[in-house]
Amino acid sequence: MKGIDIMWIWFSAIIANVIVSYQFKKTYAYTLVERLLVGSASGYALMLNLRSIGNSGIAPLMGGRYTLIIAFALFLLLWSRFIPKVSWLARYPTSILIGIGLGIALATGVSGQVVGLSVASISEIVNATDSYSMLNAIIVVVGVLSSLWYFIYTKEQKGYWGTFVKLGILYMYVLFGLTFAGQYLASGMERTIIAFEYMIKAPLRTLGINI
Amino acid sequence: MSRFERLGRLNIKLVWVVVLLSMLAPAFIKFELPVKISPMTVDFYEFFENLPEGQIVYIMNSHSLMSYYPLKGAMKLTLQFLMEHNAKFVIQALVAESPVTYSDWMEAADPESYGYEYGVDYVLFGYLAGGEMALASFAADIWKTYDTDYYGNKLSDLPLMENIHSWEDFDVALGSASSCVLQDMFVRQWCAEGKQNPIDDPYGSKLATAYIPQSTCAPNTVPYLGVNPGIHVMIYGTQGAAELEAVANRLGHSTALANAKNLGIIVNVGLIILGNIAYFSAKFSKKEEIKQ
Repeated sequence: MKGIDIMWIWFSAIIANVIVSYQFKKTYAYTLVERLLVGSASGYALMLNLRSIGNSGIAPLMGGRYTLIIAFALFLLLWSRFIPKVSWLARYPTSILIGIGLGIALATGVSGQVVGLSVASISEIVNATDSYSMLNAIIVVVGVLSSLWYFIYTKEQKGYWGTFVKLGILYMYVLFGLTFAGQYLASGMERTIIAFEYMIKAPLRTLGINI
Repeated sequence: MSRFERLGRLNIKLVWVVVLLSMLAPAFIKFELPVKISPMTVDFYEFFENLPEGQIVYIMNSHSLMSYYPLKGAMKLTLQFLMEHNAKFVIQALVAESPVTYSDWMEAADPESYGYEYGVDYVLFGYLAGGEMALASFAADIWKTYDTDYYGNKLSDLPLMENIHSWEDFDVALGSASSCVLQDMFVRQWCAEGKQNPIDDPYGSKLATAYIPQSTCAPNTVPYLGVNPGIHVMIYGTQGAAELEAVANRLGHSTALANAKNLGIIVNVGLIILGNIAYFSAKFSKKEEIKQ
C-alpha cells in the first residue's frame, strides 16, 4: 500500500469518528467536518453538473446541433430571477420543464402504472390457486381501494365511507411503518456497519492488525 | 419509581452503545445467522443463469454513495453473471455519483478476467441531468442524448455503440437505484408501451427486465414484479444480495453485512419490545395510583 493511500485511510477514519462523536457531544471538530462535507459535496456536484452541461450541451452545439440554442436561451432565462424587472421571464423555462416532465411521465404512466397495477391486483383474485393466495389477493385489493378512497376529497369522509377511509389510513400506517423500519432500522444499521469498516477496520489494517 | 419506569428512563447513549456492539460482534466473534433464500432470489438467479449468450443489456445506474456499499455484492455478482454469458452492456448514470460507484463495482467484478474490453464489450455513460427526461431521451435515441461516454470518447469511436441506437437494440433492461421513485420511471420508460416481453416468457423479441432497489425501496418496487408492464425479476438490498451469494454459492461481503445487520435488528427489536413494556407499564401504574 502506498503512503498516500494510508494517509487517505487515516484521514477518512478520523472524519468518520468525528462525525460519530456527535452522538455524545457536538464539538468544534464535528462542526468543522460537517462544513467540510457539505462544501466538498456541493463542489463535487457543481463540477459534475458543469461537466454534464459541457458534454450534453456545449460539445454537441459546437458539433453543429444548433437546435440546442433554444435550450441555452431557456437556461439563460432561468437566471432572469436575479433581475427583478424581468424576473417573470424565469416562469417560461420552469413551465416548459414541468410540462415536458409531466408529459413524459403521463404518456406512459397510465399504461405502465394505473392500468398495469390495477389489472394485476384484480387478476390475482381471479387467478388464485389456493385459499391462502385468495386471502392475500383480497387483502391487497381492499388495501388498494381503501387507500385510494382516502384521497377522494369531494365527499365528506363519514359513515360507511369514513370507516372504509379509516381502513385505508391503517394500510398506509403499515406501509409507513415498514418504510420507517427499512430506512432507520435496516439501512441505518447497514451504514453503521459500513462506517465501522472505514472508522476502525481499515486504519487498523494499515498497522497490520486484521479483525 | 417502579422497575419499569426506571427501564423506560434508560440512558439513550447506553442503548446506542448496546446496539452498536451487537452489530459489531460478528467482526470479532464467529457468528453466522442462517440465510433463507426466497423464491424471488431464486427467480432472479435463474433469470441470469438461463440468459441466452451475447445479449445486449441496458443498465440504468442511479446510485448515490449511500447505496453503493450495501448493493456492491449484488451488482458485482450480476455483472459477473452477465459476463459469464458474454453479454454486452451499456450503463447510463442518472445521479452525479453514479459513474464513481459503477467504476468501483466494475473493478470488483473484474472484467479483464472475462476478457472484456471497454468500448467493445461495455460502455459507461456519465451523469446526465433531467431524471426521467434523461431516461426517456436515452431510450428514444442514445446518439442524440450523448455525444461522448463518461471518459470523453466519441460514440463513433466505440465499436459496441455502432449498432446500438435506442431501446429497440437491447435485449435486457436492468435497473438499479438508491432513490425510491426511480422504479416508477424505469417502468414508465423501459417497460410500458409494449417494450417488454410477456411475464411468463422473458426472453422474446422485446425487453426482459430486472431491477435491484435498495432495501428501503422494496415496498415500492414489489408491486411491479410479475406485472405486465413491470419487472420480470428483482432482488433488493443487502438481504437479496446475501441470498444471491448463497444461491450462487459465492459467499462474499453481502453475507457478512447481512449477518451483522440481522444481529443488530434482533437486539433492536428486543429493545423496542422492552421500551413498549416499560411505557405501558408506567402508564398502567400511574392510572392505578390515580384510582387509589
